[in-house]
Amino acid sequence: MSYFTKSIKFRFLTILLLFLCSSVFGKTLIKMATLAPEGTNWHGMMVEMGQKWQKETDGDVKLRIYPSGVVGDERDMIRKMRIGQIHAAAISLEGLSELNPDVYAFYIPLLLKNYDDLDWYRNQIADILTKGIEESGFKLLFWADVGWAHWFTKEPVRVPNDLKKSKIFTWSGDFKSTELWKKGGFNPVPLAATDVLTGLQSGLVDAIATTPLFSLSSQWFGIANHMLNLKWGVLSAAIVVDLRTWNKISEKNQQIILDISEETAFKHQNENRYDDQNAIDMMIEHGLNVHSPTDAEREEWDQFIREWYPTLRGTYVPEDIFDKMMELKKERQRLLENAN
Amino acid sequence: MAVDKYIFGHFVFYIILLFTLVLSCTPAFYLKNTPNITESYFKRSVEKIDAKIKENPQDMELLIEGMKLHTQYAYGFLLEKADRKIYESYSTALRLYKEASTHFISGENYGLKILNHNHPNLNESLKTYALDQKFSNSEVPVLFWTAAAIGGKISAGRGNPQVLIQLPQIKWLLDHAITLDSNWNFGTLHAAMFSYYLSIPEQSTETNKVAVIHFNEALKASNGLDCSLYVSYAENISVKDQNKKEFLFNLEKAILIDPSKIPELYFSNIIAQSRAKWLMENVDELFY
Repeated sequence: MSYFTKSIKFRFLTILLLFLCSSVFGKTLIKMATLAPEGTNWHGMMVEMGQKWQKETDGDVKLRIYPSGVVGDERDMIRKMRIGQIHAAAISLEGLSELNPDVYAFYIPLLLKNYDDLDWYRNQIADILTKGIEESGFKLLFWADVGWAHWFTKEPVRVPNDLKKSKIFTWSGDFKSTELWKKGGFNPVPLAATDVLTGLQSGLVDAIATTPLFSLSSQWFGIANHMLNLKWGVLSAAIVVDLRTWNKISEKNQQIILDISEETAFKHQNENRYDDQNAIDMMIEHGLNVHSPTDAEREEWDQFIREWYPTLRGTYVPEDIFDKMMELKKERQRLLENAN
Repeated sequence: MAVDKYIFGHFVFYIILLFTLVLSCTPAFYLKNTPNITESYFKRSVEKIDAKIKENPQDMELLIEGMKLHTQYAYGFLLEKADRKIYESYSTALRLYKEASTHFISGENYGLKILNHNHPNLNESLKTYALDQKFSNSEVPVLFWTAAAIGGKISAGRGNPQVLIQLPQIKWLLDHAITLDSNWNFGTLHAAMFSYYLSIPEQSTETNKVAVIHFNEALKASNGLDCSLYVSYAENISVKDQNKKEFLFNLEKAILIDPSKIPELYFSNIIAQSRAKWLMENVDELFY
């Protein structure tokens, strides 16, 4: 074999090897969608995380964020991840329920009293949630908290019967929860989220469960200016990456990404878990009336919820995870009693 | 010898600078050709006006100048830089946003002080959005610049609830100004209203319709020569619709406008054209 032929072969093999290496663990561009508007803390958190990914992986992994819902709603995001148009998404429980309906466990009203509770329950069911999401083809990077849903109403609401007199906003198309509200004796009014302010102004709806920060930014509190100071439920979100994209990243870089994601989640939680209270304080200055339930009123809510739970089981929240949460509730109570 | 050379070098630089200044007769010239010098010029002007206001805190002319300078400087330089820097270094961008915030707050405070002079209950009206204030035509610029300063503060606040709560105040101020002189400064009020409706969190068909009405009004009043309108449209509507063709079309339109056609819009046009060019360079970041 001549030197020339040998050289050609060597070059060919080198190029082939380089090609194989780059196609297995080459540079990865992760296109990530989110509803979080550009210019918010949430968006900033993701931007900062992406810059760290790029830096720590020596430019092997780059994150490109499409904020403000330009990719569509969360269901669109999942569909587009499945066809490979985008590769990741920062989505709320609403979107995550498409990947694993067990996330509805967090929707059980009045179950969680504070962030300690949330952390504890989340740790207990972490494997169930992660496994379900992975079985759907996605890698869960981290959980982040959006805030606590509170009732914002046009007339003061102190006990369940007050709420039953109200016209409650529900997402149009979400037939399950509309049905559930009806079974609980409430009066749900399905509306597009974009029509809530108009709905409040025209009287079509007069009660809405949302986070204080969202009520402030959307100015809903200007009309629904009574807030029940009761944590109705927590709104969580998570970042997920399509497994096909995730598996293209080397193990070393995957670990870097996971570490940075965990660090980001921790930082974000420390900085933003108390935004709700800041928002409430600001709204009070601008005319919001806050009603903190008395012990008796709180007991009325708990009683009502206990009676409503069987309706939730198997309809809104899958039976297995509902039962698991009820078991955990007992365990949590026991732990807290022992600690006291 | 080295020192002589240094002094001479600086001397020559200042002679050239003076010569160019005399020739051009306008600092706007520098904005297009030497943005760094213009930024320093603005920064110094802001410091000077603050010092003057400190000496004469009730001088309305100085307060008006201070309100404008702080807001222009923060919008034209700090916010612009921060918006670009965020793609490279989030922490640097945050520092710039913070710096911009302090200037917007100064702009807002000066604006409110001027308005409060003739309207003692203004702060209360701004909190409740009551329609109990009667402004005069001469107050239109102050209403606009105060609204602009608040808008900038919200933008630089990045979702901070303490500033976000002021969002309706922008509309309140601009509504009053539009009622008095809707075509002021070649449709600037409508252009601001267009941006306002695109930035409110609750976007609906109705708000989009109102935004487009203001866009058309601003377009008419500026004879299509306000670059910021096309850039806003591209950034907010074309990106939202993921319409790349329309995005590029609008940015090209903005770039092709001769900014000197309307001297009153020169500053904002140059800033908008620079933003348009930057957006075109980063088009891949915005479309999936």
